[in-house]
Amino acid sequence: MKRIVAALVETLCARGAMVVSRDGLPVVSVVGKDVQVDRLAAMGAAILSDVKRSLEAAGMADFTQCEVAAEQGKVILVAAGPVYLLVLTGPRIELGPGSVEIRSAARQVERAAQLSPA
Amino acid sequence: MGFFSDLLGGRSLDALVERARRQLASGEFDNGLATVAKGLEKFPSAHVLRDTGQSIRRAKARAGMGALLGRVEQDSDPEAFEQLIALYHETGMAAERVRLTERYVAEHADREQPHLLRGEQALEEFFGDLRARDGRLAIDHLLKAGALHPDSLKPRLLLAEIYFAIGADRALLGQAAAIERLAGDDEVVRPVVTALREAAAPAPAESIDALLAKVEVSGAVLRDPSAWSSRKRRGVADGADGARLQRNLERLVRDEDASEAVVIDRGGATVVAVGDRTLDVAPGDAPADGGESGLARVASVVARTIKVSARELEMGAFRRFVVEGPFGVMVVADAAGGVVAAKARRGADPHRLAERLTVAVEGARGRRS
Repeated sequence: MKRIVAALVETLCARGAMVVSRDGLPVVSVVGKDVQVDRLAAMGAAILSDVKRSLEAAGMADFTQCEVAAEQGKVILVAAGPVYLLVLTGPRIELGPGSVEIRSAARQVERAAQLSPA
Repeated sequence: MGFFSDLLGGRSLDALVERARRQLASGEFDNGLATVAKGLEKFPSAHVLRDTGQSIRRAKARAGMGALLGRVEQDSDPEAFEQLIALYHETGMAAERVRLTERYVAEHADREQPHLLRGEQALEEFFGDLRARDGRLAIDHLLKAGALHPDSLKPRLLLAEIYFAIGADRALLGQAAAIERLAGDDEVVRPVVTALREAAAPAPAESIDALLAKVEVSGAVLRDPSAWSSRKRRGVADGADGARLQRNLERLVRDEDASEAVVIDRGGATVVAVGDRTLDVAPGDAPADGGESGLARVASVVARTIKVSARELEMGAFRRFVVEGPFGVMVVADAAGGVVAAKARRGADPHRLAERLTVAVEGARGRRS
């Protein structure tokens, strides 16, 4: 799974990417020197705990993808079967959750997650 | 092309952009800016026009910057500092503006103006994303400006804004007394002093830093000073802006770009809600008064948690959060410190929804070039 994430980071020239569990816990991560893994994981956890809970309470359960856009970059979170793939990009990369590279990586992560022992 | 251009009298978006660019190339900066301003009245969401306007402003500023930089370098001329800082502000060169103001403070530490400028900048930053350290910086510089020029009203009013916003009521009353002493007879200032006194409920012990930290963690100010400070940029839906915003969001729903839209102000209150309420929380969980919708709740949570996480990841100012699923699409976007959110049916284009939402908010807050 780490290989898939590393390849994605390289292809996109992303600042980092990680696979997180459904409750936001990091599974594997590949991040650049300027990124603190804990903070990226905290973003994933914020989305997958607080935001997800409020979405469910509002009748919007089972989100498949989301994107946080800020002045200096984006965080993209895509469902990958039992886990989520989270990507952090820089300010100049025009990418979204629908990009081919991310969708393809998410599918590979999903397959890898289903094959790995529980 | 020529035929249509003639038919439209050069008023199509392409024609306007082309004319503005020609004026930029020939150094007719004021005419170029006038063209852009006219174009934005007709095409308020045209990014290409906004970008052209920005390029013209930068080119205009660059023309005057050289001489000012020389005066700063050679003479440390305070007037040149101030003009150059204003130019950087006008042209959106935020980092240069801050750096130059800090240098102005360092080289003229005994003057009121550099502290006032830096304090005001830090205050803007504080109201932008509510970081405690910006608030502390603003307070320190504004206090210094006030100490250097005790009869100056502006630092007192700016300090009152931040104290009011974070709930530092003891400090707020101190500033209210100073404002009354300086301009208590002024008919514009008098109601401000009254508003400050009415709002203040001082606690026996008050820690400014603790209050700033509380605001940063909660992601919301205690009270929005927009109403009395008349600084609209600090509130998403004040007065006439609020009515316009409501109309714009109603149009968004009427045009079926969204099924529901809400606006949450900096304090976390829902100020505008339009559209259906199918997203309301589950039965039994809903507020008795049927008040806040599910969309508003989600928007509040996003404002509270995602903005903070984005800041900690050093991603700069939060712009928007887009989520998709079997339920459809939801967009939560920043709006002058508050957030605006909309939901659309499944299959809707999230980027179009985000764009329409931005246009609705910007249109309500006045057209900017």
